[in-house]
Amino acid sequence: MSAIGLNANTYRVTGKYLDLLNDFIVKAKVHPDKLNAQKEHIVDFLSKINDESSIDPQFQLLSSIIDRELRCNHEQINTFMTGLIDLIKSNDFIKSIPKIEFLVDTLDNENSEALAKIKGE
Amino acid sequence: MTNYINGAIRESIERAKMLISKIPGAKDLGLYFSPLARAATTDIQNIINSLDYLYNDVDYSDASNLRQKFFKFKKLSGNLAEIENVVIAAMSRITPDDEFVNKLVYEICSEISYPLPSPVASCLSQKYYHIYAEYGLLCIPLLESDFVLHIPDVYHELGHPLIELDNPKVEPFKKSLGQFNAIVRKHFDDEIKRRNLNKSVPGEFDPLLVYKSTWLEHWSIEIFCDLFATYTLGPAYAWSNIHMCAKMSWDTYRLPTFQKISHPPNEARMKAIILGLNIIGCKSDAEAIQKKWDEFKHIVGQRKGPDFSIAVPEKLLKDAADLCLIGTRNIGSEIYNVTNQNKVNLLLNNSWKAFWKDPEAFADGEAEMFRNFKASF
Repeated sequence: MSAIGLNANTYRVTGKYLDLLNDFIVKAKVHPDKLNAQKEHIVDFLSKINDESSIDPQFQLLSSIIDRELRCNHEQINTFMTGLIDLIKSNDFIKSIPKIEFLVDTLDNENSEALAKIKGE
Repeated sequence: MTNYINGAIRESIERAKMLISKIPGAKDLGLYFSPLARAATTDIQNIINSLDYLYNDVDYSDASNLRQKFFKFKKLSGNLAEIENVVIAAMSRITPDDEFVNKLVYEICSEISYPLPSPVASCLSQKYYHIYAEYGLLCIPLLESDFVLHIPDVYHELGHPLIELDNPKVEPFKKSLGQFNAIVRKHFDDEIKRRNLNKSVPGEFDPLLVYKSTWLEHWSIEIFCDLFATYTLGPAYAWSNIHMCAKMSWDTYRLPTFQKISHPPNEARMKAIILGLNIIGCKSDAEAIQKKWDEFKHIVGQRKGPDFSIAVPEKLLKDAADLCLIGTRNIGSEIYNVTNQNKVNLLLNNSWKAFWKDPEAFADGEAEMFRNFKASF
């Protein structure tokens, strides 16, 4: 009974969107006026995470991981995501970047933990 | 630390190049490991390109983005470590038994009309059966190429790529899992709301939250892989699962407390498997398996805790069994039936029948039977 199949899945799914989030933070800090394409992309990603009717197992997994982490801070995923999407749409990057960094930290922690288990640590 | 990160990136590029040079050549790779070598080379080359881009990218080099540069470096280093620890390690430990297990896995994939390419099988797993879906690498413990009773676990591992990979051929299976997860989420959300109305202490920890995330992140995947194995192989998978529990895991009713656990309790897995067998018409096998499973639980002294049916509602297992069958059919995989004459399927189901006919005598004939089977490839 090995959990490697599960950890490999978590590793891949959590890693898949880290670049999208990181690249957005980098651009938002340096070129906040040149973010139109990335904005659309990230809003689409966040909307999928927040979609309660989603039947995509990858987004269900990501949503559950983020929901679990937000609960530790006594926050609701729906309120968090809706608020973040509004901030991005209104170009309020000073307030949105820390929230995106929270998502990066959450997914990165899960990603690193899964990799450590794959490597047998 | 700006200098540090640039130096670390340059060093990783050299490590990645060195890793490419460690990939064995055609003679050492043999017939089966070449696709793995090609995939690893391409992936390492992509990592080198990404590291190079990160080193030179002006935006990532801005002082305000140093943390993001560290993040990206860590992720790329992780990808490199995965290839080094998983793929290169498997290619460096090729054994004579690999030829047989690769033929066996290919035969299984052909028999069940597996929709994806047959994975490469490596015979030196130190962690029971497991699969790396992204690389199509199936790891099998060394002794399994000489014994038959645990081979059914290959069918479970074949279920993981159907969930993990982005491939249109497996979308129907993923859709079934997604529909099941939606049912799981609604079930626990409704229960949590109901409990919140009756809570005496607001903010009190509710284990239902842990059950919900454990199902969504791990258990539903494992249950679907169990059911995929049951539907494509038949009763031998259930017997093999009891065999695995007897050797490795007596925690029949184990539930997560504050943190999620990877595998569903064995009772949940066996219930799902038995439900699956009943659905595909293997009622007498299901009854026999249920009887032996109950005996096993009695012998090892496992008792159901009060929360078990809250964490593992029978209705969810039934929904999983129904939806996984739809998913398995919709990807075109063959569903087991008693008239099945496929070579590996017959071997595994007949071996378990022979085992139960006379368990103590089985080991005497197993080696010869398996030798004849190997010779038939």
